[in-house]
Amino acid sequence: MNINTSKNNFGYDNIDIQYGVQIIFSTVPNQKDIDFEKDIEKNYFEDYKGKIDSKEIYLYKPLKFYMLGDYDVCYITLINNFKFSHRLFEPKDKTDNTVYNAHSFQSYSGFALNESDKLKEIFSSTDSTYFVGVINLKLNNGLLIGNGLKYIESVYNYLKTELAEIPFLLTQTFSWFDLSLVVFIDDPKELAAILAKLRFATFKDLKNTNDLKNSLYHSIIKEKKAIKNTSLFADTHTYFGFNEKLISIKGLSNTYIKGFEKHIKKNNIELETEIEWQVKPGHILDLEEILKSHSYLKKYFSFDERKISLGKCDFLLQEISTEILANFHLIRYIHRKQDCNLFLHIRKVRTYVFLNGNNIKSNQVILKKDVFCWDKELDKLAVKSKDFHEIDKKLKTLKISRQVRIKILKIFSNYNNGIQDPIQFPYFLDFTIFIKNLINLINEEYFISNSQVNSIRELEIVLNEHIKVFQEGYNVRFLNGYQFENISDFDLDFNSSIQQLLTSYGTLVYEYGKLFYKEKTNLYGPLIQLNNIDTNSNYRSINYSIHHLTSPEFVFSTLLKEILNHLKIDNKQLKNELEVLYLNLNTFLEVVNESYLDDMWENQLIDFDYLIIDSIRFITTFNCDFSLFEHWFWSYNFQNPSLFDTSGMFNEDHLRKEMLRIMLIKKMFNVHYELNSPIPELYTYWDRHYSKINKISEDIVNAVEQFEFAKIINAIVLNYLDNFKNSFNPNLDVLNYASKMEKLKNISSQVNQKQINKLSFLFNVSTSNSLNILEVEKLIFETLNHHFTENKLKVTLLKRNWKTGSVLNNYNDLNKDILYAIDQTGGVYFYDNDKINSYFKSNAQCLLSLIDFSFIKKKEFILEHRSNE
Amino acid sequence: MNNLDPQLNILWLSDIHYDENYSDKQYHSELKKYLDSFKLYLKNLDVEYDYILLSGDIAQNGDENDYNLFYIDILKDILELFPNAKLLVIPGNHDVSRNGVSFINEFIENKESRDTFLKKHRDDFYKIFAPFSNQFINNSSISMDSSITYKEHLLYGYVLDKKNKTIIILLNSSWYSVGDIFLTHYINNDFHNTREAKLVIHDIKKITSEYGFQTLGLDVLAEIDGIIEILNNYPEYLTITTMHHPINWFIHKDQITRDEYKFHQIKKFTDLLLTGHEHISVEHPFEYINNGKILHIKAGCFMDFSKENKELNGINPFKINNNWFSTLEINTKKRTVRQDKHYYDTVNNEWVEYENKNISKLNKKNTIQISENRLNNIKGELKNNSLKIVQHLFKDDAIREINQSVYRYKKNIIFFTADDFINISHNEVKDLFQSENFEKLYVVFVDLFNNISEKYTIANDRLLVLNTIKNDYDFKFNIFRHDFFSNLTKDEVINYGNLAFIAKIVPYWDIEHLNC
Repeated sequence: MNINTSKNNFGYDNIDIQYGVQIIFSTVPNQKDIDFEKDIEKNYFEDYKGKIDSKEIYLYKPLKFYMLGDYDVCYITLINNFKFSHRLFEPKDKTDNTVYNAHSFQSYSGFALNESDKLKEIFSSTDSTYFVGVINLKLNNGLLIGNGLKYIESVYNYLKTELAEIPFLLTQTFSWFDLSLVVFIDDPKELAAILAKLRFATFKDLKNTNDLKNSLYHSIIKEKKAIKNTSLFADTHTYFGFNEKLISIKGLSNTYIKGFEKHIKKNNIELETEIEWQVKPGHILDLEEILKSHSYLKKYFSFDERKISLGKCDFLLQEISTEILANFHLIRYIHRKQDCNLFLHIRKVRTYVFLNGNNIKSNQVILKKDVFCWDKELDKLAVKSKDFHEIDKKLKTLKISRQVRIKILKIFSNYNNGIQDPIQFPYFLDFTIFIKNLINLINEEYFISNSQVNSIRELEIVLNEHIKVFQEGYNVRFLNGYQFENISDFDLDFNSSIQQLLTSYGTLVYEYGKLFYKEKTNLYGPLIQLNNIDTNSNYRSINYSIHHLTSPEFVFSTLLKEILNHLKIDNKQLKNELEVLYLNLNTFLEVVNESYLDDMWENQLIDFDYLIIDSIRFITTFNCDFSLFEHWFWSYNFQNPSLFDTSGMFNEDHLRKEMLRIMLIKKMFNVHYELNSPIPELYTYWDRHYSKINKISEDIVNAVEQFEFAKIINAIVLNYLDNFKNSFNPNLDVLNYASKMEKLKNISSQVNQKQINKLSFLFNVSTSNSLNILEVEKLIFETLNHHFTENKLKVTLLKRNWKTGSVLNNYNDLNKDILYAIDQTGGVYFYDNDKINSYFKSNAQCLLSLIDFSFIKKKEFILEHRSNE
Repeated sequence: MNNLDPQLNILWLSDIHYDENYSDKQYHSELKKYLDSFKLYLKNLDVEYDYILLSGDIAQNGDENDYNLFYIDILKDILELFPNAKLLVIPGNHDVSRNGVSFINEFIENKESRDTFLKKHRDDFYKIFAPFSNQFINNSSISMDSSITYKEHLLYGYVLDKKNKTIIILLNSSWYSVGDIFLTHYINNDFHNTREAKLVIHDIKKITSEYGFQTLGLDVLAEIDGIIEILNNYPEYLTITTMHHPINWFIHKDQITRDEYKFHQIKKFTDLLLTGHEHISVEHPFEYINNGKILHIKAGCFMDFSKENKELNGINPFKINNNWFSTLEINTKKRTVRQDKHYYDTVNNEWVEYENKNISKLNKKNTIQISENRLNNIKGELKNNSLKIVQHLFKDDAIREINQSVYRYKKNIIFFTADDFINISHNEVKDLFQSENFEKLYVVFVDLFNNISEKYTIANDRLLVLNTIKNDYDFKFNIFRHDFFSNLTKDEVINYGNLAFIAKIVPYWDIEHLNC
């Protein structure tokens, strides 16, 4: 299936994303009577594969490795649905009252960049190398920002050349590091060589440097020649592990094990490690006794010399040699032996790996003048110390409580720590506008306090909201982050870290918001937050459910709603008109004189703000296509669990509220055909309320005619169109135009035809810059249209058994033609496995475009906000 | 688009004072222009009226000829314009006929109270309104829902309008409006020559004074108990009371609020009081009386012609004064009344709507407790009338009965449920689909068959009770629907998976008027 009819200018040129990857590192609780790993493998992987009835052998079947370091096992899985990566990673033994001991894990997911056949081969193969290296790569922000995915593609091509002999898997992650490189090796020396190569790799090593001149470096480094020597990677973080077969196979006499030992001996394979034992106080001698009595391990440790490492006060037992078999036997002992008594005396064992760096040779010496120093550049985005002092003084003048004042100052302090970090500053850019607005707020309040008296409580409420937003925003971005990379994945929203997604949506909202908030005194740039229940947004933040981040269609369908939620704060005329409307509401209700309307108003089912916002969305996002608007309106609603009752039914009052919203748009734009219940489950409520809401929506539209809303909507849309500087008529009556457009529309028309119709004044624009927001506009419209068409122009609600919550599979055949059903517990559900693949591909292309857009636009953002200093 | 809330529209003309002398050729042609413009204006208002109310003083002298001319010149055309409207008439002081008084001597000598005298001479009193009664009594626009007493003389009684959930009480406040007749009789018989001047003055004052002396006669008319019974049986119905004179014209006991007086019992239920007589100007506002419980709207004069200039063949030259009438739009659910006043603009010679519109709230709630008896009666009668209910619900008579509780309507199947639960098996649905090949399946519930409906007799808010019933039926229906669809086999899903199931819940007040 061709996903989008026209390729936009974002995304990869020659990488066709078909699959995703999830990599999980986990500790294993030492409980010999309970098989943690088996349970995880069954519940997390096998059962899911069975549940979705995935026939492809390579999908959801993890490659497993036993690791040295903080985590015991590593699962690398090829997936085609990102919902999977947020499932509960917890064994679920159903047979008894098992309690698993403490265990922790960390995971990340992203797009598999390798060719599809290669991926299938890696994940189908039963014959893997003895070792694995997992290298998380943070790309050099100076080269990545501005160039975007072009740079990643170029790095991928570099890796293909440089690692020609080594099987590898490359994942573009959603985490703080951009790439995760998994190399399958038979000798740790290979890993050392790869690491050395990567750490020495510079810009000039790339083949197409001429195509990569849009980088941030190219804008801020004056001496262009210096750029060629800048590193490709800013940071590497590496894990090393053993093929699981080496540990899981019974008996050392097995031919595979024998072969391994032979391989080690023949190739003289060594591994220098230091094993740190977190010994229970007073147990060191018992630990030594156990090791001494072990037939293999006793050979590898020197019991004459022990060291106490500071910090947690652990013991280091000196290893006699660098034999890799020491680690091999230790892991086998821990994970296989039923009578392993090690954990009677220790709490944890951690192995530090030291690869041989002697082979690293380079003639390259970087001249002092060519060393690029980020400090000076990033300082320009930070809060200056004089400003700290000023803010502190102003907060004191405003008599803000000590605790709130300190928290506010800590926000600036935390922001500064992040924005000055060369590795993670791109994710701290998300906070830049937030910080500026917070400073503005304090300045304004300080200024106002010179001439009038205000309530401290009111101001503290506002400041506390800022504190809450910052804290939440900080948490979701920096858990599993750069500074905390070895901390467990304990965020309740998601398993994998998602900095790339959050910041990409942040850029989208910022850039899109600029189309509507052009002349603001306050900057617009809300933080992207996660919230499953209340997705209402405000000036400071926009909330999305975690599943929306990997289902961009849901973000797209409501993007403008979130952005325009506070339109009335900026648009004084709109604010006034709405205020007058609300003030005269009693007269308004009297004129309409319908008890049904009174009831809806009393039950707070009417929000006149929506009339404005939905009208603008209808014209812009949905191209005056009412059936498209209708489709997404209901799709979005039906995947919001908080709008349903526990019985399984959509809440009747919510339905009334939403029906009124959509019927108002129907009336506003003279859509003449009658609407039908979007799903059969709602026929009763629809039948009960349709004619009533039809009537009062007409009354409302007639009654609000006396207000200036039409003019305001017109002005807002014209102002938006003005961004594209094209040949639209500046005196255009947008509402009238939109009504005509809707009438002309042919519901069954294909995407191509719709594209032609897309606000002809908007989409026929020829622009000199193909990498602007217009491309994103197209992407949004085409994505929404594509899903609509693929869903056969209808919304399908996933049928679940109300008593058990399980999916009713008997409906698979009935719904096999649609792309997906809307799952009322959140997100989408696929009746057909082929559809999962096509959905994944479509969304991958879309997400990558957004990520690319974000990488590219960040350069402008940095330059703009830096120059304002 | 039709209103959602039930609306009661009333065209209200008062104090028409139609005079047979208007038939004068010259005068009549002028008058006709005025009346034609009125009729055209009415037509253009484009409202379907439920009632046309004439609140007294229809005639100038209560003569048959006055009424005949009025009918020909005005009423006939109005009734043609609004063929579905029902006619409400009550007499005013000008509707008393001079020819009908036979009891005048006795009346002069009477020492009893006015009510006692009225009771004794009731038939005689009917005679003085005979031309009025005779003119309208056979008019087909008089509502069939009127009480017997009203149908007999059109002097007082009630209309029980179940469809609009409204009771209209019609009262005669002009029993003793005999002043003219008395004076003529007194002079014709030279009574003034046989009595002392002092007594003459006393007689005249006693008989002709209207203000503070009008009586409704309710306490002596036995039939009035029927009105009060109806009001008690339908306490939630909107109650409109109309009479010619405002209350301040009545004798003391008809004004005060004590339970022993019948009019007080009517007032207790009255939401809206409509009166005429005072020829108030169009600017005059409405008022709330009885501690704010009754909305009182007074009418103006529909045909107030100047009497200032010299007479021409017994009448004055045609000149329009302050002429206006009202249309009332009553939202019987919300209990609001919108009064639109329409006046004749003598400068531009056209009818116009008065710009200040009044939307007033009525005091009585429509969500009060009702008697168990009434509920049981409705329930009993509903049981065997499912077809009628279904026809009413689907607004279509072409409904085919498949069996006692299953109907076919177009491509739909309707199950009528006279129970607290759903007694439809999955196989029954499947069999019906095989035989009837329907698209939608409706299940119709009536609130009174749900056990929760008992709460109607104790709850102060019947909408809350209905809501609880609705939730209960919805829950049961949704489980039925869900069970049906979730138990379909893979093959059955292809056949039945796309069927639509819809529940409809009917409250008793929506079907009580079906004559079940």
